[in-house]
Amino acid sequence: MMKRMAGRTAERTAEQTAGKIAVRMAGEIKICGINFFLVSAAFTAALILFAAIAGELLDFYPVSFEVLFPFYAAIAAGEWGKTRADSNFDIIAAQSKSLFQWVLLRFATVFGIVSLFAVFGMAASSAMRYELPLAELLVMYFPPAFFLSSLCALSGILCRQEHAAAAVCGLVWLITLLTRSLLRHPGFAFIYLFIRFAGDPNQIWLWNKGIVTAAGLFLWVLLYRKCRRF
Amino acid sequence: MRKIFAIVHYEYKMQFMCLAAWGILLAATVLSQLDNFPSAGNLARLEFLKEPAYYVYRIMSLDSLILLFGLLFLLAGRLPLDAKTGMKPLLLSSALRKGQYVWGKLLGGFLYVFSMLCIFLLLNTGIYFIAAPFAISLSACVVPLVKAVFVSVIPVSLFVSFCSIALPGMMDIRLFYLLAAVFFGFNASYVGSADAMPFYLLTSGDLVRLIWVHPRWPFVSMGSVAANGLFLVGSGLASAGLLFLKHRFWRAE
Amino acid sequence: MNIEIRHLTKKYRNGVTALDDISFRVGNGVFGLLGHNGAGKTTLMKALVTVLTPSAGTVRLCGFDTVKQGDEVRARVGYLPQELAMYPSLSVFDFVNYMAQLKGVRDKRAVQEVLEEVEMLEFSKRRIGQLSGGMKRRVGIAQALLGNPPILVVDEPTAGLDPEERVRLRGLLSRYAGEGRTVLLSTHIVEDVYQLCEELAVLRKGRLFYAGTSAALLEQVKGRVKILRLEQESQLIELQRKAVVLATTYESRGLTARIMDESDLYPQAEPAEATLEDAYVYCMGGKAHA
Repeated sequence: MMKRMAGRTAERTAEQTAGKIAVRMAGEIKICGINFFLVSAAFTAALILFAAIAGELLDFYPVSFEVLFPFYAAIAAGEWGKTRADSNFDIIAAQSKSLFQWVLLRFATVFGIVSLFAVFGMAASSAMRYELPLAELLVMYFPPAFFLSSLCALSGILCRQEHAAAAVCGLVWLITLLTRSLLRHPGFAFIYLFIRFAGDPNQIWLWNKGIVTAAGLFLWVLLYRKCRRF
Repeated sequence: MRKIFAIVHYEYKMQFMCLAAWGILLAATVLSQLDNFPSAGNLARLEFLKEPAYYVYRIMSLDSLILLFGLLFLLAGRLPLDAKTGMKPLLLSSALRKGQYVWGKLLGGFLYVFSMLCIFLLLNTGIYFIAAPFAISLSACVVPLVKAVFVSVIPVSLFVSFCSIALPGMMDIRLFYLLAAVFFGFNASYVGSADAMPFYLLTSGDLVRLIWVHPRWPFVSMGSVAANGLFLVGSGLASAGLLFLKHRFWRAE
Repeated sequence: MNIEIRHLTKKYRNGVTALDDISFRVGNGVFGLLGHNGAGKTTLMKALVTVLTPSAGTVRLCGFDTVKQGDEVRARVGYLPQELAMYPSLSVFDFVNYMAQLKGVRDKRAVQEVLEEVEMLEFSKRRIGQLSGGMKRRVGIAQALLGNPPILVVDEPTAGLDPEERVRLRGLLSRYAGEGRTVLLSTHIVEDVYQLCEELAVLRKGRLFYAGTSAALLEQVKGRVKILRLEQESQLIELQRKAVVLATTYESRGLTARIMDESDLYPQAEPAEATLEDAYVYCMGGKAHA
C-alpha cells in the first residue's frame, strides 16, 4: 500500500516537472520567433528539392545531413538559442535558480526543433531516393550536429558579442571541410567530423560517431563549469 | 563625395580595430603554414611547393577561404547594427542620402576585405620567402603576389564585402549565414580538375589559374576566367543593386 | 512659429494609429512633449525629423514642409533619438567628427566647440563603449548641436540618468534654447518639463490631450488638489471609484491619498498646493491603485 502511494507521488511529481519543462519550452519557442520556423522550413524544403533533382552526381545524404544540416543546427543554437549575447542575460544570470538549466533548456528547444526538421527532411528525401536506412541517417546526423551546436552553446556562454558563437562554429566547420586531406594520417579518421562525407576509408564511422558524441558531451561539462562560475 | 569618404574612412577604422578579425587572420595564417610551410615534409608532399607562384596560388585558392568566411561573418552585421544601436534614425534625420550611406558602407567593407586579404598573402609569402630552404629571388615572389591582387583579390573582396554587407540588410541574417555556409562549404570541398572550373567558385575558379598553371595542363580557358570574374563582380554589384531597390530601407527621397 | 503641425496622422501598415489628428505650434524656447510610454511621442518626433512620413497632415519646420522640402528641414534640425548606443569602438571625438562630416559641417573647430559645450572635451579620446550612460547622452547631445541648428529635437534625454546628470542636461538645453532657438523635449518625466518649459503638449494614446502653457494647465487643477488621510486600504479602493487619486503614500498608521476633489466631496481633506505633476496625472485619468 505504502509502496503504491509512494509510486503515485513520484509519478505525479514527474508529471508536474514534465509539465513545467513543457511550459518553459513553449516560452523559449515564442522567444525564437517566427523567422526560426520560416528559415528552418525553407532550408528543409530546399534540401528535399535538392534530393529530387540532384541525381547521382552527388553523395546527397552525407552532404545534406552530415555537413549542411548539422551546421544549420549550430547556427540556430548560436543565433536563436543565444545566451550571453541575449540582452536579458544579466537579469537571468542574477535571478534564475540555475543558469545551466536555462542554457540547457534553451539549447534543447532549439536543437530539438531543428532536429525535427532534419528528421522530416530525411524521411521526405528517402521517399524520393532510398539509399540509406533512416536509422543510419540519424546516426550520421546527430553526432556532428550535437558537437557543433554544443560548441556554439559553449562559445555563446563565453562571448557576449552577437554572432561570435556562430562565427566560431562556422570557422571550425569550414576548417574541417578544408582539412579532409589530413585523413591520410592514421587515427585522424576517428575524430574527423564528417567521416561519411569523406568516404570513411577505414570503415570506422560508428566509432567516429561515438567519439564525436563524447566530445560534444565533454563540451557540456565545460559549459556546466562555466555556468557555475557566473 | 565628402560624406561617402567619411563613411568609408570610419567604417574602415572601426573594422580595422576589431580584434576578432585579427584573430581570424592569425588562425588562417597558422593553418596556411601548417599546410604550406616549406618544411621537408610539405616539400615532399606538395610537388610544386618550390615555386613561389604555386605557393601564392595555393594559399589564395585554399587557405584564404577561412579568412574570407570569418570576415563575412563580421561584416554581415554592419547594416543590422546601425538599426540596433539607434544610428539608423540619426543618420536618416541628417542630410545623408541613401546612395551615400550604402556606397560608404560597401566601399569601406571592400577596402577592409581587400586590405586583410593583402596582409594575409603578404604575411604568408613573407614567411615562405624567409623560411624556404632554397634560394628564391624577391621578384619571383612579388610577381605572383601582384598578379594575385589584380586577378583574384579585387574581385573576391568585392564579392565578399558587397554580398555580406548588402544582403543582411534585406534578409534574416541567419538565412544569410546559411546561404554563405552552403556556398563556402561547396568551395571548400570542390576538388580541382584539369578541365575548366565552375564559374561560381569563389577562390578556386579559373581566375586564380592566372597566378599559376599546372605544367601538365597549361591550357587556361579565357572564357571560363571571364565567367568567373563576371560572376564575382556581377553578384557583388547585384547584391548592392538589390539594396538600392529596396524602398523601405531608407526614408522616401 | 518654428514648428507648425497640422492634422498630423500616422497609421502603420498593421492598422495601428500612432498619431491621430495632431495640431499645435511651437515657438522659441523649450517646448515639452509629455505622455506616457506608447502615447506617440517618439512617432511624432520621427515625423518631425523626416524619418517617418505622415499618413495625413503636414509638419512645417522653419516654414519648410517635412515631406516636400526634406533637405531644408534636415539642414535645420538637430536630433537625439531615444536609444542611441552609437559605435562603441570609436572614440568620442571620432564619433562626433564622423557625424559632423555626415551633416556637412566643415568648420574643424565645430567638433571641439560642441564637445566643450557638453563638457566632454576632456574625455574626447575615450572610447564610447567605456562611457557612462550620462556621458553617452551628452555625446548624443553634442552631435545634435553640430552646425548650431535652430531646432533641436531631443527624445527622452534624461531617462535613466542620475540627478546630477539630469540637472546638467537641463541646464544645457535651456542655455541652447535661450539663444533664440527651439528645443522640443519629449519626456515622461514631469519634473523636466516643469523646470524647463513654459509651453507643453500632452499626448494620450496618439491624440493631443492638451497644448498650451504649463501655467494654464496648472490653473485647471489649482485649488482642487487635496490630501486625504485613510486608515485602511479598502477605503482607498472605495475612494478610487469616486475621485481621481493622484498619488498615495503608505505610512505606519494608514495611508494618505492625494486626490482631485472636483465637486468638493471631501470637505475633511486638507487643501494642498497643486503641481504640474498633479495636472499631468489628472490629464492621464488618475493614478492606478498602487
